[in-house]
Amino acid sequence: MIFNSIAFLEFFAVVFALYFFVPQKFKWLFLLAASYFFYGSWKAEYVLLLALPTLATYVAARAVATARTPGRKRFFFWSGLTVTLGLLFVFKYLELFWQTFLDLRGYLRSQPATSALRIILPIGISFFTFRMVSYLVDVYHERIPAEKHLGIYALYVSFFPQLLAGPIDRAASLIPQLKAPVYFDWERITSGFRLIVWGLFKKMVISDRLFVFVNHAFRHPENQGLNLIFAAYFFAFKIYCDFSGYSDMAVGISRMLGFDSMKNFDFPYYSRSISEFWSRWHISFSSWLRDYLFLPLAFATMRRIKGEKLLAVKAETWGYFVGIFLTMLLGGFWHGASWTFVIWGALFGIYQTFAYASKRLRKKIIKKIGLKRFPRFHSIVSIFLTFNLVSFAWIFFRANSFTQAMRYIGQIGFYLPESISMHLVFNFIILLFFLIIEYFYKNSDRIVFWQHFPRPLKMAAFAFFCCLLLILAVDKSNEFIYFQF
Amino acid sequence: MFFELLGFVLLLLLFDRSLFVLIHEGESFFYGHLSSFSLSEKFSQIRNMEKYKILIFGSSRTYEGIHPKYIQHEFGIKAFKEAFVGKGPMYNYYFYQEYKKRVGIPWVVIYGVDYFMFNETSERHWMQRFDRDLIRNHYFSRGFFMLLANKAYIDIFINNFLTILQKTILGERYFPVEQDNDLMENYLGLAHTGDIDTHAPPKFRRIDFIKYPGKEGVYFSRLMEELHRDQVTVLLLSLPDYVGTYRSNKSQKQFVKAFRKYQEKYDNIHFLNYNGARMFDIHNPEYFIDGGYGKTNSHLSRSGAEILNRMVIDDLRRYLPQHEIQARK
Repeated sequence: MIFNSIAFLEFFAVVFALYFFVPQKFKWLFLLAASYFFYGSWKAEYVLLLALPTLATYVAARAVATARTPGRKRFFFWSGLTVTLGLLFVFKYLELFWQTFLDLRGYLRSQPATSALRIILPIGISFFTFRMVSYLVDVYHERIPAEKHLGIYALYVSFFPQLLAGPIDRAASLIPQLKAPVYFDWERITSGFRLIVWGLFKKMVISDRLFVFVNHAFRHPENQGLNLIFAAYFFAFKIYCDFSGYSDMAVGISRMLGFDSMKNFDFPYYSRSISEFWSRWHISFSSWLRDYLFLPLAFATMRRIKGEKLLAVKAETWGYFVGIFLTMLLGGFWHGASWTFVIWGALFGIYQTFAYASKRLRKKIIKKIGLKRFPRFHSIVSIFLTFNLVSFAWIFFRANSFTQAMRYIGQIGFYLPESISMHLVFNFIILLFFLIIEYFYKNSDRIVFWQHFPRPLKMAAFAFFCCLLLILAVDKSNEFIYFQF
Repeated sequence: MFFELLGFVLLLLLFDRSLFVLIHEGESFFYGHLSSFSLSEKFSQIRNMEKYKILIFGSSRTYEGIHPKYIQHEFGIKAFKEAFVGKGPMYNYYFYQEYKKRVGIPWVVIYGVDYFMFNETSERHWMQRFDRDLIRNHYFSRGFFMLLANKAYIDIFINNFLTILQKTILGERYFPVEQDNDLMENYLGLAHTGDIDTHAPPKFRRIDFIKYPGKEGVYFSRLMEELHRDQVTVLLLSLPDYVGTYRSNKSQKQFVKAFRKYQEKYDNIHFLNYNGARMFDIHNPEYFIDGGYGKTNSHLSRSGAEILNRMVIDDLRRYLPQHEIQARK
């Protein structure tokens, strides 16, 4: 049941229709049952895989909260973490490591590698694992109390709009909402619905339309010249529209049910630097990485350096370098059990450390060439450069193997292919249309005439937009990319 | 709240109907103005009409698998090949009516039958060649939201529109071989490129045979009846599939049974099965350009078609009037 399917539409229609008739004190139970049904609809066995670590982390967090000694507290914390991360490791990474081991053994013995394990990755496992880990860490550090109500905690982990691909809402924000009474609010419902339609448009019109061109370019990069640069740009938009489209729908559905979810994307391709990009892209994930990985790693590194400097470099700079590089590397690895994701993460690590190290030099250059006098132009140049760096990194993310990525990069040329495809032109037109709407959406509070637009006309414009979605959407939509992670 | 909701639904329906009418009209106008899709142009290319004694129908599988040049070389008679991608039973039925009028009744009709045949829809751009009122509403479904009910069809239209527009801008023919009879008569297929995945996975997608009437099966039966009335010998050919594809189409027996029924019903119809390992070397990937495990369609390569055509010619000899052939030779 993916969000852009008729099956989900029917499921949500039933849930939504019944939800407001369910008495307040049973609403959590109703949503929990709906969430488990939703997850079980992919495969019934998955329900167990969701329930077991939920129970384990619930028990561990309760034990952490009531532990009398720091040692016991640490023990329960690590036990809960081992169960959750252990499951993630087995289902997501064991196959890759085992295959790498077999390949290596085969190489050393000059024999072909034997066939490896085949483990099916349960959908959304990375996302609900992250929720459980952040909950456990927050309880351990006493930022939040351990939840006493098992049902509420289970709902926090499995809440169906966010279960498969986020946003990874923190327990501190979502659990109190799950406990609070929910009332029928027409304004919330309509704004949630608008967000769902916008998400569908991003997914089914932009992302799915760009899919064909991108796929072809990656499969047959020979003699494509500039098309490969277009395809890399298209993939940047494809993945953005795919994932942010899903997030918009998740946030919209949550809002219709009466819950506020965190913003997951904030127009990331308008970023002027890589670090800004990461503060606008997959925000719930990047802030998770910042809080639970980058900061602990950076502080740990700084603590290990005796004195203020090491090799003439400040301890805090070392902290940043080690923290950011390892965070990006692990962030890449989180995306999938493939070395291309590791390279993708490492590239971002290199970008960020280089940006940090060259800060002063870049400032000097900007001053020397007089770019500071034209702040708008400076912004545009920065946005363009950042977008290109990100698009380059996406090539590794999209490629099925390192060889494919290198083949793709090697074929990039600055010449037009023999014939320009009308599908390419159409993709550009659709993308331009999307960028105009997004710009409008981003600046809607500054656009005066829209604010004074009569409500019926706004409604008519929205109805027209819905019909446009039906016309332009691809008939056979693909699954969301982030489901595989 | 209630009135706002009602107002929104009414506006939605209004835009849905208006945009649908716009697309419907635009689509009809667009296809109607593609002159090179006209039948007149197609038939105007035929020289020496009296030489055309065989008519070939089928999908892209027949297009790649049966070639008039071999037949002409062997028997000295010409075969008119109408087999092409997107031409289903409905197209073939209407085409036969026109063919009879303009060229005459053939001695033999070779019809390449496919596993997916009853699930096939003749494409709109080919159907435009016939009575427009007849097909005007054929492709559109009714529903509460017309745009949603016709989503698949609108998508096909957008793709066709872009492809055809591109070819128009570049001054190319839409389908060069289909629109040039000389090219069609000399076409001998594509060379094998080695793209076939010969690896047999433990599990792969397998599909059922879609039974009669499916989408256009009724037109197939109508055509068979008409050919019987016209006393035309009909050879229903089941062309070879690559072994992976053969196994992916899991109800082969049902498929064969469905077409044997026509043979039992009409004495002018003969079903010739060249598919399967007993009839053809379907394990040899050199004889195919595509197909594989989980892929439910495959096409013969140039070398595969050459072997098949030799087999078909041997069988065809039995069904052609020998005295006429000798006289022509």
